[in-house]
Amino acid sequence: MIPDREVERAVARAYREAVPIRPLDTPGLMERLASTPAPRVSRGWFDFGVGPRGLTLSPALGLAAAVLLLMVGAWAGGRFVSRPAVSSLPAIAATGTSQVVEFVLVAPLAEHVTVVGDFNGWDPAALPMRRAGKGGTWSTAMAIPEGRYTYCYVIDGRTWLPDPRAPLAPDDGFGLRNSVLLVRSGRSS
Amino acid sequence: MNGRACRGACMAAGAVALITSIAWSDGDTERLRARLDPQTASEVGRVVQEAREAGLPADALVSKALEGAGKGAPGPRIVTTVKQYAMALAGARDALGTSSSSTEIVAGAGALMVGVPPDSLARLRATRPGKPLVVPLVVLADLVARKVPASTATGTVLAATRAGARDTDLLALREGIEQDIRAGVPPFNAATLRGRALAPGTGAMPPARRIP
Repeated sequence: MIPDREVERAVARAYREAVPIRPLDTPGLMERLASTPAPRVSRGWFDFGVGPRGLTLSPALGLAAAVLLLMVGAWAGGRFVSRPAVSSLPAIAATGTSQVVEFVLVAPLAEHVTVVGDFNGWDPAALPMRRAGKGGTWSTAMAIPEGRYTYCYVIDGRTWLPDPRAPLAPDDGFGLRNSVLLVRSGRSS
Repeated sequence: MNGRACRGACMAAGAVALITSIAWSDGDTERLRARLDPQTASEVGRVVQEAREAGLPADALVSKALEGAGKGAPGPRIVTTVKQYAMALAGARDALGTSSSSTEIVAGAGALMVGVPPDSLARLRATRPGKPLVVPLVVLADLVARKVPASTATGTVLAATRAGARDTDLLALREGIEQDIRAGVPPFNAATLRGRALAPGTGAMPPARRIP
């Protein structure tokens, strides 16, 4: 019986031996293959749309495309989301149990912003915000009695936006969301 | 005070209450008619009047109807929403107790409408007898609205209030959970981890991290 070690060595030796390569008996085959054009595969419009394909771009064109995409993203983000933020101030001028609450929204591309809520009868014309400087920050203030209110922002008269930093109210029953404002003695949140 | 004076005082108080009720009703009617079509205003006015007679915070219903008008909702939708809101207000009052403030009832209705079971409101009341519940209710509704399971949100808020958490603590808890959820932490994990920070004996825990 041949020891396993011997068998392994024999196999390794066999694998290490050079294999004689028989020359092709069809001279010029590789040259003919190289000169033959690849067969054309007919692609329909569907294949054109979904099939993978390479895209060659020069660095300058790629950079320009990236800048364009960033500009579009910034425009869309600023128009529809625009980092809204609300800040509530301590009472500026407390009247009885009311607190002056300041609403602040960053919406650089908005043309008109208002605050609507339980405290102003949900009237979009009741509490317009003023643009502060060129930074796209809108603000307004209102004396609001103590209590719990729901509110949201209206951008350009068509986009109703809850304040993402404030507590969420349940579905408003009309397919949108509101935020909750708590006005308490000495503070609002 | 003799009997005659007592009767007079009662009659005067009744008259004041009646006049006040009529004045409120007139004000509500005017506000509704100014923003709603006549039929919707009439139906909403009826719901509001019934709610007022039942001792519910009817102003919230008027505001809800005005909200629907401001958002351009059709009349029937406004009526349906106001009726549902009235039912939620009644449910919140039943769960929280008749001595609850209007603000608490409104906040409780918000919690019910987002899916918090009524018994959770009653348990919350039991943890803070005689103290305002508005902030815990708002925090509870917010957590459920952010997809924290209702049982988890209730447990978190209940544990915090039992541990003596103040309103500011609960609002900070809400903000922390919101930040974690925004960072990608599943709502259940965010509420559970942040809630432990307010439980006694566990000490402050770092913010939850995104789970890969």
